[in-house]
Amino acid sequence: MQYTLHQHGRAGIEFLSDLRLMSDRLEQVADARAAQHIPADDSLPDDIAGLHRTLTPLFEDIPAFRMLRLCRDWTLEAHGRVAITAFEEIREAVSPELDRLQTTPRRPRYAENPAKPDYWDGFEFHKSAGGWDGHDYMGFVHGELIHRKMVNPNFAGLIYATRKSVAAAAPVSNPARILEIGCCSGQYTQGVAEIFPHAKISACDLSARQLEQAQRYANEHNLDWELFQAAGEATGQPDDNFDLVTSYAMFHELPITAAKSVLRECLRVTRPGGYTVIGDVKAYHAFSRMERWANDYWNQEHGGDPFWREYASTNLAELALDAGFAEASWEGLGPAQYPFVLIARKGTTT
Amino acid sequence: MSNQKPNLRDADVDRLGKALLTLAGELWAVKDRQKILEAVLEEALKDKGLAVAELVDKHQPDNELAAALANDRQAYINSLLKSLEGD
Repeated sequence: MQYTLHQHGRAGIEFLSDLRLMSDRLEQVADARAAQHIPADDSLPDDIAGLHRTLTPLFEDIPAFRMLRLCRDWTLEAHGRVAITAFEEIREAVSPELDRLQTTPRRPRYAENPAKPDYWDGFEFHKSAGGWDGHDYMGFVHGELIHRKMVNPNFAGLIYATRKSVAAAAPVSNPARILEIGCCSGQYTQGVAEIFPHAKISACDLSARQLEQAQRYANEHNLDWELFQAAGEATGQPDDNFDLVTSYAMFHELPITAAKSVLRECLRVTRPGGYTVIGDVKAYHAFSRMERWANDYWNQEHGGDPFWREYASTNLAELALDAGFAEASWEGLGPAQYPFVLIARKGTTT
Repeated sequence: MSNQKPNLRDADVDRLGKALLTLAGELWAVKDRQKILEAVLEEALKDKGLAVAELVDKHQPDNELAAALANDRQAYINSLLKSLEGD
């Protein structure tokens, strides 16, 4: 959908996005200052608590590092407000078309009383103001203004290609039916649809506002997606129904107890011999110890991601086997080992 | 988080104060220029009855202007980061 931000909103978004990206140079300054004091990587503690005891005081003693944290804290805490402000400047101009696209020809199927787990309900993941449903057009605010205009430039414009690479890693050909769990505003769904253009795609999320944005994309592009509001732990879909069940960047936002429940649900709705494919951030064991500390410091400790460490420290393949899958692997894609992908096959007899 | 350790230590506050003053000065220059620009344009275009502030709100930079703005914005952020970086 075409839209035009007003000058104030556009400038605010561009300033925040550039500040986030350019302040990375403070990290380089801090790393250079710290280098002479950091032991060889294999001499660092192997556990997260030990890494924090060793490295956190050392880095927090460096002025450039403290300023880096100030910049990152500010951009995290301000990005939702800046995006909402930019939206409000154009609300009158865009809301009729947003309303039309979220209902015509198809609309998401809302749950009457969606079970919203405590770990999700009202929580501001990534410190986004209000959480996933925190504004009446939060799907557009998150999917379009935050992700496309703020986050994507900070990942060298590659976030959509990265999502698509997970769908491409699924070891299935011509699946007839695909279920995506935790589809949010539909960005991974787009990648799945591009890789498997002939599949019937169903996708669920707990957030009504994010589902509406996914529906807008589907309606605008004549995609016959079935979008419905449900938790990944209880999708309400029939047993053995999908050739492929998939998800992207949701598992790091779940406590492990919920991740186990979601994997059991994936197993239930995957057809015998079919696959569940889960893409997410890089596992801690694939990092050097120094990188592991930095990843934990910026995401778990300061990134508004309370379950990041639990996810990144857990072997997802073992969880899948425990849930009942016949085979499972969990590995990073490509030389950067990013993202990490669980590929789990359901046995032909259960 | 309410129990989070403060980002800044005493030694940071002077640098931050200087950066804020730099920022405030730059921002005021822009605000001043914007008002002057709108007044000059209103005066120049008064016969046409154009609402300059509204035109500015809705104006979309072409590629050349967008590139020039990106250049200026990044130089601006650079100077801000230089103040924050310290010695």
